[in-house]
Amino acid sequence: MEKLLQIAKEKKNFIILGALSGLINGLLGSGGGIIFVAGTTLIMRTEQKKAQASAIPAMLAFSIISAVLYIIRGTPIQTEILIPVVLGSAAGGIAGALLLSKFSNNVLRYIFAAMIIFAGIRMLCS
Amino acid sequence: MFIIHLLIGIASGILGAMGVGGGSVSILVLSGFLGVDQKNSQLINLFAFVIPAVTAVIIHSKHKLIDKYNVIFTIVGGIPTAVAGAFLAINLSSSVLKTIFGIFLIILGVFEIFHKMVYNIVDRIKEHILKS
Repeated sequence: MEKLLQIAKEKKNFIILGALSGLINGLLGSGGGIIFVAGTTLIMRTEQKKAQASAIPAMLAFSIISAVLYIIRGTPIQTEILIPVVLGSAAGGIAGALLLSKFSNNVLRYIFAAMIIFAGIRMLCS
Repeated sequence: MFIIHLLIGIASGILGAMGVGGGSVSILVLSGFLGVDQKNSQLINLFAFVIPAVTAVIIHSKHKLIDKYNVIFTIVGGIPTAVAGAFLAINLSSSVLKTIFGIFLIILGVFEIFHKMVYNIVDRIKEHILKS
């Protein structure tokens, strides 16, 4: 028991980051991974690649829990959109995982940043 | 529309696996540009994450990039809040969620652009704390 408390104390940063990223992931249906990666690289100075890799299984757990709750509480599943998006992201995900080591993602990062700021403003205005 | 939805999936899959926030892409295009309900878009994205995530976990654990213990504690910390977040989302209207999502995207975008500066600031604060 004492040993368990000791480990929990050592890992408290991960418990806190988990709590934050779980909340965002459940509330917004995405974004938990970014919080986790930003937190671990900023505070614990985890290597970027390791941070990204470790974020995925945690977000997988949160996403499954959240998706089940959304469905139980009656959020409709639009299969005509769901199926192509799921197929596309499965293919894109494999391609991306294989490309991860081969490309610098700096250019991608700025394109992505510009795009989400634009989309964010659009969402606030609509 | 099938092709457009397929392309959204491919783009978000690639970006997600490269670690630049792919999850947000499908939601922002579906909800922000194609007029799909915000809550439905979020649910679609939660689903879409499962297959690429499982693939990525397999690939990354082969390369020993995943720290099992850290992941376990992250999950333990996040399960109650993931449940809370989902219930909050279910009970909020889609227009309120859209606003929160928009604010989140803008903060994220600004962080992505200025992340080097943010890292420097955190470094300085840490140094300051260590000195005093």
